[in-house]
Amino acid sequence: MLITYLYDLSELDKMGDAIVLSLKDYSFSQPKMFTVDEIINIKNTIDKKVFLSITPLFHEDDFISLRPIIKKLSILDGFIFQDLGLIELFKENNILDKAIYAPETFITNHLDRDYFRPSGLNIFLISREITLEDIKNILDKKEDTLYMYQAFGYSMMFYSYRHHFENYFKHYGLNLDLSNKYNVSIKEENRSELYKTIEDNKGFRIYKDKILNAYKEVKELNIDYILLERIFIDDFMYYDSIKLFNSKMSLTSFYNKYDKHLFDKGYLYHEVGLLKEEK
Amino acid sequence: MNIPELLLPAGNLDKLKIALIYGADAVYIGAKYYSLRAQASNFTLDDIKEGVEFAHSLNKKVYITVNVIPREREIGGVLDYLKKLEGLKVDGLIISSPAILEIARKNTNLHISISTQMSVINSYATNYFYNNGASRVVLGRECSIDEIRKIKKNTKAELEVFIHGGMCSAYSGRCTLSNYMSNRDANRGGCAHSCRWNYLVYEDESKIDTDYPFQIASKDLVSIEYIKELVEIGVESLKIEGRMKSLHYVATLSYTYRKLLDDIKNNSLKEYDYYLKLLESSENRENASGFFSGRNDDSIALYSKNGLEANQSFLGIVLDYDKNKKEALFEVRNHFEKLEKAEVMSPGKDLFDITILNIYKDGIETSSAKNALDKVIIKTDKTLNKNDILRRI
Repeated sequence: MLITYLYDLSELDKMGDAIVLSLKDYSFSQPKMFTVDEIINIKNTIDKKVFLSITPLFHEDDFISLRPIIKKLSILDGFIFQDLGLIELFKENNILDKAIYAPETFITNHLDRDYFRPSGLNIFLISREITLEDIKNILDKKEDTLYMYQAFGYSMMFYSYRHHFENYFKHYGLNLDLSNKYNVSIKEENRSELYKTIEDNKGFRIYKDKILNAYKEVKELNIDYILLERIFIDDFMYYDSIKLFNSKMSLTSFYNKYDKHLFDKGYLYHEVGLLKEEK
Repeated sequence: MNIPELLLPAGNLDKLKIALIYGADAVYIGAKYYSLRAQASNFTLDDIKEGVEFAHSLNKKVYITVNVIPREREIGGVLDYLKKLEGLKVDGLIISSPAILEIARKNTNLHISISTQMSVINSYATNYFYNNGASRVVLGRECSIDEIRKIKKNTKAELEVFIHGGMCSAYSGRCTLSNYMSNRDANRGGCAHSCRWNYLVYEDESKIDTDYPFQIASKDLVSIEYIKELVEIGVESLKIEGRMKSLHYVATLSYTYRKLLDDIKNNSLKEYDYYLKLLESSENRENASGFFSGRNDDSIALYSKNGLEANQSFLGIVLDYDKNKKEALFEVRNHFEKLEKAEVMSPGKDLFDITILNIYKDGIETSSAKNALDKVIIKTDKTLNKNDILRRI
C-alpha cells in the first residue's frame, strides 16, 4: 500500500492508496496541518484510507487533550506514532490493530516486533539506518507482521525538544524568527552539505541534505506499507514520486526530470558505525 | 523518608570500586558487547564478576548497560550473553532495544530498566514498559520536576532520573547526526558528538549573517538544588552520567551526592553552594539544571566556543598507607611539587588540607612528581587513608 501526505483535497487523485494527514499542534509540522474536524470531514468525504501522523514524543499533560482527540479520530484507518504512551489510548478505543509503531531508529531486526506483539501491536516502521540486507532479513521472518518503510523523501536525523533557533537568536539578541519556515538549512562549518531544518511547537528537527529514493529497492521487497515523506519536497516532484512508485512513471523519466544528485539511497548499501570491538 | 539509590557510572574496575567506596549505592557499567559508549573501557565478563563480587561485599549493586540497537546478525549471541550475566549475579540490565528486552524478559529473571535511549517522558509509556517486563524506567532528560512528580503519581514502575552529567541535545535515541556526518552510529556506541560542532544558518541559499556560529549543544546537567525534591517525590534512583569520565570525576560526584543525600536524610542540609563547591574541581564544562525547572530556553544551551578546558586539579590517589612509617604509596595523575599544599577528599569525611612534605621516586627523594600514573611515596603532615584523593588547592 502506497501512503502519501495530502495537503489539499484538490490533489486527492494524485495521491497513493492511502493518505496521511498531520494534526495541527500534535503532529510534526507539514506546510498543511488539519484540525480534528477537518480530518473527520476528509475521512467522511473520500474513499481512500486515511492515516494520521502523530509521531512526536508527548509529555505528561499532552495526554489530557490527546485522549478525546484519539477518541474522535478513531474512525481513521491508521495511526503512525512513536510514543508508546499512545498505546493506552489506542486500546481504549479498540484501534490498536490500526496503530503503526514508527520510532525512527529502533526497529532494526526481526525480534524487535516480538516484544510488542503480545500487547497487540503488529505494524512497524523499519529503521532507515539499516542496510537493504538487514531489511531483507527482517522481511524473511515477518510471518503475519506488517512492515512500513519510508522509501522516499528527506530523512529526519535529529529530533530535539529544544527550540534551537529561538534560543540562539534570543541568546545573541537577534530579532529573527525561523519557526515554521520550510526554507531554512544549516551547514556544519567545515562541510558543504546543507541540512534541512524545521522548528515548531514540537521542537527542532534536522533532516538530511539528500532525498532518499529507494524505489528500485522496495519494488523487490515484500513491504506492506510504503511511505513517501513529503516535507521540503516541491509539490510537482512529490506528485511525480507517487507516479514513480505507482509505476506510472519510469525511473529513467523521473531522473531525466530531476537532478539525480538530489537523491541518495540512504543506508541501504552503506553500513554505518562499526562498534569499537569490530574495528 | 526513603533515600533513593545513588547510581554512578564506571568505565573500568578501578572507577567501579572508587564510586562505591566514595558513596554510590550502585554502579552501571558497559560490557564489551551490546553497550553504548564504545570508547569507554568496557568490562570483560571476568571484570564484571570481580566488580559484582566487590559491590555485593559492600551490599551494593551493579547494573549492566545492554543498550545498543542491534542489527539482525548481532542478536544471535544476546541470549547466551544475558544468561552469562545472570550467572554472574549482576543486579540488573539497562536496555533500549525491543529485541533485547524480549530476550531478557523471556529468558532471565533479571531486573530490567528501560534505558533513557527510549526517551520515556510520560506515565503512559512508563506503564507500558512496566506492564511488559520492565521494573524500572530511566526517564528522558526532557522531563521537568513537575512532570516527574506526576509520572511518579501515575505509575508503579521504579523511576530512575538523571541528576548530573552530559545532556543529549536531541531526545536520546533520536539522533543520527553522527551516523551521517561521521559514519559513526550513535545508537551503537559511536556517537561523534556532532551536536557540539559549529553550524551556519541559511535561508534558501543565503547565509544568515551572524557574529557567532549557530550551536545546538547542551550545557551539562547539575541538579544539586533539585535533589531534595526528587527525594520527596520518591524516585527510586538518582543517576549520574559519564561512563567515559575520569576516576576523579567518579569519586567527586559519588562523594558529593552521598554527602547531600545523607544530609537530607539527617535533616542537616547545607546551603546549595556548599555542595556546588565540592563539585567544582571535577567540572570543566558549563552547566545548568537541565529541564528540571520546566524552562526550555537558551539558559540550558551551550554557546561558548569551546566548553572544555583541561583540568589539572586531580593530583592522584593513595594506593596504600603505612601508618607506622606515615607514608603513602601514591599514584600520580598531575604534576605536583614538594611542600605543595593539597586538599584531601576521603570517603565519609569532610575535606581537609595537607602539605606534601616529601616525594620519593624509586627510593630517591625528588622535588616533584611529574608523570601521570607514576607510583611515588609521599609523606604528608597529616594521616591519609587508602583511596584518598589529593587535589590541587
